[in-house]
Amino acid sequence: MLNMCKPIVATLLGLLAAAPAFAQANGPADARLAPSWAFMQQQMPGAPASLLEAACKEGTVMIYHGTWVDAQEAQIAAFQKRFPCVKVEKFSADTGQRQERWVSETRAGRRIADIIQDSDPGFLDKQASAGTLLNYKISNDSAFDDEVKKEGYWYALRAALVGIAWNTDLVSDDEAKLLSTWEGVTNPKWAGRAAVVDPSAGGVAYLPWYIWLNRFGPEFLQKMGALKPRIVAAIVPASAALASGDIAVIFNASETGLLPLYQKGAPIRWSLPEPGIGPMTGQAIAATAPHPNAAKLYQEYAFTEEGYGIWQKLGGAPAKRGFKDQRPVAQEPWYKIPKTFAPYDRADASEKVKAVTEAYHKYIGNAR
Amino acid sequence: MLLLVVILAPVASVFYGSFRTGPPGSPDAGFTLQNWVTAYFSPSYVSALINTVWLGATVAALSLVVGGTIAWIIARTDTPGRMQLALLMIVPLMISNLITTLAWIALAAPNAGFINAYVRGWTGVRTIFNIYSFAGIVLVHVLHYASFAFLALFAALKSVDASLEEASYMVGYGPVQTSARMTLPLIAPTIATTFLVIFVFVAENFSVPTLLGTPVGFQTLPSLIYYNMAVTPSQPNLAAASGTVLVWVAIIGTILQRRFTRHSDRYVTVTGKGSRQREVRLGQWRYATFGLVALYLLLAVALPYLALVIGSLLNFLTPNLRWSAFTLDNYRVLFTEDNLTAVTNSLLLAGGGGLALTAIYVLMSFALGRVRGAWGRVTDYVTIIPTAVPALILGVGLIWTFVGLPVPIYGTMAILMIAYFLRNIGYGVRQADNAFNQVSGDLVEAARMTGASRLRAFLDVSVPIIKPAIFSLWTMLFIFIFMEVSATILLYTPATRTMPTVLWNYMGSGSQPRAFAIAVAQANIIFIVLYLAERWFKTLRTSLDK
Repeated sequence: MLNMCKPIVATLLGLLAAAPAFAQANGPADARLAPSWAFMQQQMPGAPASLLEAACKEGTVMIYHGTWVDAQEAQIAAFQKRFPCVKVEKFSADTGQRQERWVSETRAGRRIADIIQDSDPGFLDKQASAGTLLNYKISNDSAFDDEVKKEGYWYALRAALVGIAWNTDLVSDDEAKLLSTWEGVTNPKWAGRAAVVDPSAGGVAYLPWYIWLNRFGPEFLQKMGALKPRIVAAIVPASAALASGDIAVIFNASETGLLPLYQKGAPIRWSLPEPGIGPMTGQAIAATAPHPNAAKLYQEYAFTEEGYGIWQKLGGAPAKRGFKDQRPVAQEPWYKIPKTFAPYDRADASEKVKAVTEAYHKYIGNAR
Repeated sequence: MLLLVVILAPVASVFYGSFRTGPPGSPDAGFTLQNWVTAYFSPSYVSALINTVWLGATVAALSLVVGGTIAWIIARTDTPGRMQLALLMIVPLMISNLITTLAWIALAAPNAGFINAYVRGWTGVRTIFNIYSFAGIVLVHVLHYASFAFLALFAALKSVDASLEEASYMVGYGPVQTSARMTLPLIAPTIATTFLVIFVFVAENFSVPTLLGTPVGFQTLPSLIYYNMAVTPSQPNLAAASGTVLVWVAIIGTILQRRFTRHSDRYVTVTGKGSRQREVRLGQWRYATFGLVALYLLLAVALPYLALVIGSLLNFLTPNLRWSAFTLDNYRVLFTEDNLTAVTNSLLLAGGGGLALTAIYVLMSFALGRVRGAWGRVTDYVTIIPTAVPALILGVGLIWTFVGLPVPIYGTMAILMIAYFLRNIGYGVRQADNAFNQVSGDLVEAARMTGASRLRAFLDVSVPIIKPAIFSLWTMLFIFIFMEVSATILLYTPATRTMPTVLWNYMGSGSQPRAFAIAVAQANIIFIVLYLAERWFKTLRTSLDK
């Protein structure tokens, strides 16, 4: 009798031991999480059910994001619909202020932020090296090329493309043809009609100056300075002034500032000359994240087809390989994303801020 | 002593940080003098300092002239509708500098401003006024601070002992000579204090010179500080060093102000004797003075508010007002859960917090204001320093101070209250001081002789006399706190977000019309709260009709 029971007991014990793996393959124990798990299986291949369970147990995730409020809010709303067990909280500020707050908190051991975003890839690289970012490779890692991520640390939400923008009421189609190349901005036709965004505004306002100086030399800036462009303090007021017709052309416009205005009917257009200039906006998990599992789940979601698409539709050009641009502007016949992008060393761009700003002041800021 | 620590610790953090190569606590940061060398000696910073002082002094002087003239018109003449005009004079303060600037860009941008476009259509003149100029910066500031100067000078004019002016009339001086020889010296301490406070407010403001000065290469120290914080990587240590420059400027200003008000006993005007001031009869000129005040209100209130309302109803800002450009969508966002939380927090902080700060400033002033000698001097200097440190840097100083402390302050409403306490201490304590200066020691002494304790004498004698000033102080603090953004943006959390942080984020994301909608709502909420306070407690009337 005892011998007969042995195989049964062994089978039962075996089943018991295999239960977690069984549950893993079949999803979380809590039936209420089934819809979330179904989505994960579909769009986050390889992400385990235990991640979902642990994230739900933590219940909250805190995101430190930039001023791309609409894109972020849309993605958060979609995430909460997919994962109602995780409440998303958010803090938004300009780049410098956001960085200062997060760095100070991290240094003091204050564990508040789970997810951080930044429009300066150099900053994120530096933080990864300093050990303040969590090493977590997302399940969609292979969809991101090396230039748009630091594997396991941060992934690009978008490429914030820089272009030459004009007001279509003030610049004729023939004149606009001059603006299809970077060299076109030095044409005397733009004297007294154009504006530039001060590189000190940072991020996307800074990179074109760095690349112009490296690629075309100081003469390029000198010629631009001779046109006496109006200097605008930041991307947003520059875009607003263009839409209202107060300025006719912006030489270093950010597409992220132009798009909301274009979609609302402002008479503006822009070109994205070759080689393209487009710093990445990245997202990472803080090494000291108080809700690491919820953070991993959000990080996973942000780079799924659904999460990425929702953000990208409002936030900027896609950086994910083969991802179809969701923005209505991408369907416009005049809209062309550059075929190539100007290569640059992210660390060098961060280090040369002072030199580039000085050159800008010499040829443009102080040459007025 | 605790207050002194709260006041000085963030400022000390700023000073300490200004001598470091990285933020305090950073393992790879070391000692450096380079930030100070740059902030104090490099040509661009020296030039920015000169611009800052020049701008602050110009705005303070013009605000006093405009605000003082209007205060005299309303307080001392038979201009029609004076009380209504007086109440309207508070409205310019309900719209923040940042928003007023944006409204004026919409009105007077050289090529597309509403005014320039309108005039161009009529006369063919391309630009009658370019807001991107030194004159534009001064205009925006003066329209705002003339209202501030009005409140201070109006209260002072109402407090002046009428018998002194009456004596001047008796010896044959007319209204102009009496004002110049008698009234002006009597309100000199208020003029000096108001000049200093406006100067400091303007000197630490970054939004107006950044938006209006950059296109013409006009930079002030706060606009450079803003760049230091905005540039990637940000340079908070250099920004901190630049912030210390303004502290010295404020200290010099305080030395001058103290010299001016050294003999405050001369200015005791409420002595327990009843008095009623003589009203100057202007005859037909009273319509001209009415027109003058109305013109100010048109420029400071009606035009910018109209621009804000129109802007808030547009898809994007444009002078081409076609039907298709209009929308109500910008107001829809006001009713999200997040934004309603922001409204609640702002009301709590500005209403309750403003009340608490009023009490603290009055008690501080009572405890320290009459202290003579070294303590009196120290108090004057200590209270102006946090107000002089630009708010952006004060926010950084607060983070550096509190983020590592094992006390449950960081990330709560408490740290916002500390920020507001520090931001307004220079104004709050001085306003309370001015009020106490007007209370004769004889009255307090009389109460003490009848057996009243010091506290009882304070509550029964001093408080009723300075009640209008207390109401006036609460009103101003309510407005200041309700609109504060520069320090709040660094310190808020999702649970403590305020209306200005929501507005700021919409601005940053390129949704100017939405930010305008928030600004309109903000101004309306301030107006409603002040209206209710006036209706229930007669706050405005009491502070104006002293």
